[in-house]
Amino acid sequence: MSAVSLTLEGVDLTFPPRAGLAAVEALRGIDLALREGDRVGLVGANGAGKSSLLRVMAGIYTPHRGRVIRSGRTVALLSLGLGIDVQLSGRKNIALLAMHLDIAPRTIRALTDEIIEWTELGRFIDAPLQTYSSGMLLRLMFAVSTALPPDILLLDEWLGIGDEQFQSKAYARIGNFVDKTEITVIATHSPEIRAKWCNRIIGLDLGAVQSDCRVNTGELGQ
Amino acid sequence: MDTGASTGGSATGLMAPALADLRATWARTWLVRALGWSDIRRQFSGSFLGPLWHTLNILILTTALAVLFGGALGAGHPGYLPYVGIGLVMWQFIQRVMSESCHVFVGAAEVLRNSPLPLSLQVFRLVWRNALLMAHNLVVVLVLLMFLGQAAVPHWTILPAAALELAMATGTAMLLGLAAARWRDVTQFVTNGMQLLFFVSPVFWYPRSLFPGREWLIQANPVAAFIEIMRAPLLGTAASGSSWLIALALSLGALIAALWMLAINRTRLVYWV
Repeated sequence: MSAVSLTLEGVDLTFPPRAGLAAVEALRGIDLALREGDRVGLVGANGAGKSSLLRVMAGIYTPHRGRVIRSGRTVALLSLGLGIDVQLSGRKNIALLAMHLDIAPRTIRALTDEIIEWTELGRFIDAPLQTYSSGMLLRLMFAVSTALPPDILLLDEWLGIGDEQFQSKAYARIGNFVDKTEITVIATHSPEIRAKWCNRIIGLDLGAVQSDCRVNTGELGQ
Repeated sequence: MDTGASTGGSATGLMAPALADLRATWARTWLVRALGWSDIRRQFSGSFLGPLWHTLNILILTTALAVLFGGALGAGHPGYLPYVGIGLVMWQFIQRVMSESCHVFVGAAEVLRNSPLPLSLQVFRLVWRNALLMAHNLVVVLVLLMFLGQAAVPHWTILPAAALELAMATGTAMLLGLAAARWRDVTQFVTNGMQLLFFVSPVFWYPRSLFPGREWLIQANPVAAFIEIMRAPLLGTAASGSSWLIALALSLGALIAALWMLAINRTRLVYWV
């Protein structure tokens, strides 16, 4: 298998004018070469272009100039619970959620037991999601999202949710998950996440890369 | 998504990404089928009969129309019940495809904004669930007709006819879906248009009884053509040449236009939804 990599060459992204607003320059002249082992913390103020950059990396936004070359199975976790249907059971939603992450049915079947066990949902797994507490729903969505490590993982920070008990459990799982991916990019405001998981910090400002530096490898997996 | 590249700019590169989008959907037929089926189930989740409501709906409507209008509109037409039953199934298919097409991308906004899944996936999901429904409803009506001893041996042209229906549905979903995402008024326009179209489409009346001497007026209605190419073979005959010509020209035109529009708007759609 060829090496996993993610390369951006001279990427410009401009949002077209809409709702009476003028066109917005979201990203300007981004050159990045991410290689195996890179765990990137993407930092910058709100509106600096972190989410736009993740979407360009994922292939959701197409740059107006320049190009993006991905090599490896890429998963973008930008919105937790994509494809969810609250009227269907937890079990059926595991399949729906996983399918939206581009996981094939056979693989999903193999992962289902582990997901059910981790979520500790018990009998609720066959009840419709409408009957779930928000904590249960969160556990389910989170467990499916982190069930199968991809080659390239693009993550918008959504870990600041849930109670403390969930957070420590979730951190352990996602640490394990990030550890198994070749390239990870996390958009984050949290110094803790940066220190723990990232070995490269890229700073964005007004849609351009301001800084790019390697840092000491964080501890993973716990 | 195993390997992918996205580049901006040049017009030369517009068609290749559109075809890549279609190939990406082709590689995920299991996802199309699963989502289409889950859409059908969701519509009736919580109800005791579930998707069986579709079965009941078509039986009730067919029987009611046959009883209500069989005397006035079907006088002298012994095959009125089969005519109405199959006509209704096809009308429902066309009507559903048209109105659901307006929501095909807007309704999937969350997925389009947050996942690199191909756009055409949403189109084929719509076509698949409506094809399932149409097939189910046709079987129900045919079983009813067999039960009443009014079923005919289907003419072989049912096969190309079904292919044209699916081609037209695919083109319509892509074109209306993109247009309605760009201009939200399209949805209202289509909703109003469909109400009007029902009255000028020969679902439960015969063109020659209502418009004697001016049947061509009705035959020029594309909806009538798409009803006719399926209904005639199921009643045991072949549809008229003009119906075939209209249906063939429209489906091919819609498919080509759909591919072209996908190529042009593929990268813009995400900003519209």
